[in-house]
Amino acid sequence: MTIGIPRALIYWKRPDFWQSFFENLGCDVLLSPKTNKEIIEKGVKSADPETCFSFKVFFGHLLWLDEKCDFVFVPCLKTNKEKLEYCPKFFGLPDLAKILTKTPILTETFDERKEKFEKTLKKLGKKLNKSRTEIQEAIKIALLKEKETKEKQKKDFFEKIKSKKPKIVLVSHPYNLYDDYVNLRTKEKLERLGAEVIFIDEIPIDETRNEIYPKFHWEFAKEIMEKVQAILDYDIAGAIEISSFQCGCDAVLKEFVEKEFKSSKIPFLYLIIDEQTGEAGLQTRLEAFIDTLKS
Amino acid sequence: MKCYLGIDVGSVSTNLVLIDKENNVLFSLYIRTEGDPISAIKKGLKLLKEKIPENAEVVGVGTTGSARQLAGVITGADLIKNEITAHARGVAHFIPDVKTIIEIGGQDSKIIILENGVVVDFGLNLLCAAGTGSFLDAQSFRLKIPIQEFGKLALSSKQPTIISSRCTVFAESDMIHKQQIGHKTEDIVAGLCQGLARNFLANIAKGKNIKPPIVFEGGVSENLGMRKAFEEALKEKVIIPKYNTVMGAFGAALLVKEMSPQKSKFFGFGVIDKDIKCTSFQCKGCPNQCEVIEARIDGKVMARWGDRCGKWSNLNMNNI
Amino acid sequence: MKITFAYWGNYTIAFISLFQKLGINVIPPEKTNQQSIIEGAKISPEMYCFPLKANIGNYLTAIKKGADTVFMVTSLSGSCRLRYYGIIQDKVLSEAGYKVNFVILNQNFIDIYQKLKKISGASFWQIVKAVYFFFKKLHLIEKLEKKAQYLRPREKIKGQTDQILRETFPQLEKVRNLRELTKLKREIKKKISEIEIDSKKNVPRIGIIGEIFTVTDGAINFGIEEKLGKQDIEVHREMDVTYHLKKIICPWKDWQIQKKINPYLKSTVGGHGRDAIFEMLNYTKNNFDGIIHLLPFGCMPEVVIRPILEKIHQETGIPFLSLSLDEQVAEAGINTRLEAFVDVVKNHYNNKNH
Repeated sequence: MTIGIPRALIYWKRPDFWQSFFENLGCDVLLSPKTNKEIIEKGVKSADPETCFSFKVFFGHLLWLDEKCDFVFVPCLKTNKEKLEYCPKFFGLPDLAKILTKTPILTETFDERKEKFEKTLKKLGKKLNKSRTEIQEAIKIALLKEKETKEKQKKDFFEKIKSKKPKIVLVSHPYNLYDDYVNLRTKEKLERLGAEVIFIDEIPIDETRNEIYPKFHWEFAKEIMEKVQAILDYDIAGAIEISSFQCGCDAVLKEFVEKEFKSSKIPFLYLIIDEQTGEAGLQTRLEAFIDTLKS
Repeated sequence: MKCYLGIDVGSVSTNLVLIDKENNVLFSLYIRTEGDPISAIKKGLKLLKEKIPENAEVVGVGTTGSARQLAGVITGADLIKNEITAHARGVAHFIPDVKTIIEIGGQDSKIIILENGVVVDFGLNLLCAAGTGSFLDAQSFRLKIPIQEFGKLALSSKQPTIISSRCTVFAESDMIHKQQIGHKTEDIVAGLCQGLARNFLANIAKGKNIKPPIVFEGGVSENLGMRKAFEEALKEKVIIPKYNTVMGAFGAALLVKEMSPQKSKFFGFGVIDKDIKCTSFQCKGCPNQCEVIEARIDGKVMARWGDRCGKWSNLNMNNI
Repeated sequence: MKITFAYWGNYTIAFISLFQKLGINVIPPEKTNQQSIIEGAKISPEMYCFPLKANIGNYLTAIKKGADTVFMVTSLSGSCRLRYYGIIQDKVLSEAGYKVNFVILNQNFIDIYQKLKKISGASFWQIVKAVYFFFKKLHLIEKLEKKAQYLRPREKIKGQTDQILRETFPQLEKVRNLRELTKLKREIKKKISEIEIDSKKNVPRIGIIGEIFTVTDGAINFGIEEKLGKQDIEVHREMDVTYHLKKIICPWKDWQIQKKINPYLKSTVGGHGRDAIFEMLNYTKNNFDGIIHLLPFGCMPEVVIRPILEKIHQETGIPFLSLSLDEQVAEAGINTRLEAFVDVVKNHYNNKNH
């Protein structure tokens, strides 16, 4: 049995976990390719014009997988371990996916206010006719794999932070940070301009953080705000926030991220990306931003 | 001979069509509005007056287009109709079983879905001029190729260039880039046509049930490259009807004929020489602060509209 | 302390009297218009949704007249951006140099009661009486709006109903006690009974669904109900304050709605996303002739469910029009769409009945 996973949006929240989980359940996993022009065009054509760019990219990946596998995996993510909500647009994702594809959608609702993550996973595994022990084993391996990556990330972070180059923090959602086509290789561009790039995602946080203001009910917002405060303890040269066009949550979050950096006198650049963003325009802005750091 | 006149005043073009009782087109005209609808209407009527058969009598006038209200007031129209209904009526006359109409004009574009000759669904561009003729206009200006030759050039392309084309501004920078890396002009032109078609389908026609027969009309339908681009994108044959550039006016004429007014309110050709002014003011009567538009012929107020409460538009009756 | 709040259609009248009854000095916002929207949008975050910008515009009109405190009712349990309206608006105004206090009220009765008590210093009974009066007025407003939806397409002299409403609402604003209210009610009843209507006339019916702020406030939706009524359409709209309050009091309503829409959407998406699907299904079942969906441009819940509404439209063939509203939308464009849509609806209606 082949399970298709769109390499977009929720995939990037736990990239190692999902693939490993299904593989260890004995399924073949078909991951959609890295985002490309064709995928974006497909997505833009089929998504609501007013929805966010990240959603359009997701639908492109979804349509790429259509009729190439037995199921496409689109979970409904509602709340995480801390009982904080995901983006409300995620809630409707499986139902919207169903409208677009011929291939059936494999889904389960992850709402940890009501049910433990492991329990939902078991329900998911049952849908694929797997036994309890098989599922438990698969979860264990997948979690281990995830932990490995996280630890390597932490080690890399402390290496990077020692660097003599000007350090720039990229603030965004994982689906923007790790998708090079979507962010137009911002990281590479910055590195070529002589900067050391740190993804907000990579910053480790200790448990004893102070309460942040405002108290967000969004998991990503709380995490990003905490990490922004954590990175302020280090010597960083500048910060860039990337938002998808029409991202409703970022309209809120940006106000506070910007405030944090600006009140610490750290230069801040805000970029909005969508399928229209041109390489040349981005390059110009990044160059200008790096120049302001030097002066 | 009894005739019916349809006038379509849009942001880019002003069209007039005169039909007789048997729906034969006696006169049709396509001129540029050039930002001055009043002059364009006057000019159109003047040209019509020169060409109109001697025994013709205008017994009904219908106006449509974004300046339909203004056109209606200054000509004394019997029917003021939105352009979607007018276009649909016009096309359905030539192709009775039409299911989809794609209309692309200068600054707006629309898709109309019909069943049994009746409109059941439609879409219009809302926020910007993407997916409209002005996109091609802007690029033809940049490429220094007259827009009339765009179509022929596009058809000669074997390998159209892909150009990011939702927004005129972004398309321009992408085009410069593609020129730099040596793409042929005809490929770029064909790419622009494909981009516009793609945009139209992704934005305006999103979620619409597109079924054949598909009709393509409006100013941009003159461009054969666009027809090809739509045929490729839709994988269906696309029909360009007769009178494709003046379809709105034709539809308005048909609609007013079907209404068959007892006695036409048409002012006659006298308005050509009259002094017509259109001004607007903000009503301070209530916090709505509506912008009220006022049309005067030779200083006399003919009509006011734009107010929500009817305080000004109801005055019209007393003044005329 | 002089308080103000966001304008919200005719309901604003009821809110003014609530504060007045509590002895709070209130400076009501001016009715939302193009100018106030532009002023609000100028200082608001560009990517934020439209109602926030319109609200800011409202506050500015009152701040100019001396208001120093803003009451903002927000939903601290919802999933959409409304949750952050209070803090973002506070931030926007203070960064633009306005010194105002922000009182953020959560949408629950205990929180509202406590904050009102603290600010007004009113006794329990005073608050109960003020709230009772508020609901009396609110109920009358909603009743009038519903009545007008029925009368407009049937009145023999076009515009008569709206003329009466325009005279009535300012009078209602001035009413200070229950006795005056009863008197005014009697007068309204008399005026309405004098409207000549063609009660046998069959007219097409359109259901309006969507985001609560855009569907209920005529100043935001360009008076869509009036416009449709003038074109002989009977408008129906479930979404109003009472509907909203009922849902807060009876949480199982959400459960009932969820049950009905399960084939289309299995989860909440925040805001009133589920309600729109539920209502569209209901209107379709009740043989309506068209659906108009209103939303602020980019509204997260409504944008998520729009493909589902479109699917219902494709499946059932009921005419459907979705209008996104924001500070950039021009009235002329809305008019063209409405006129064309009315033609579609009338065709649909005639085909169905002949």
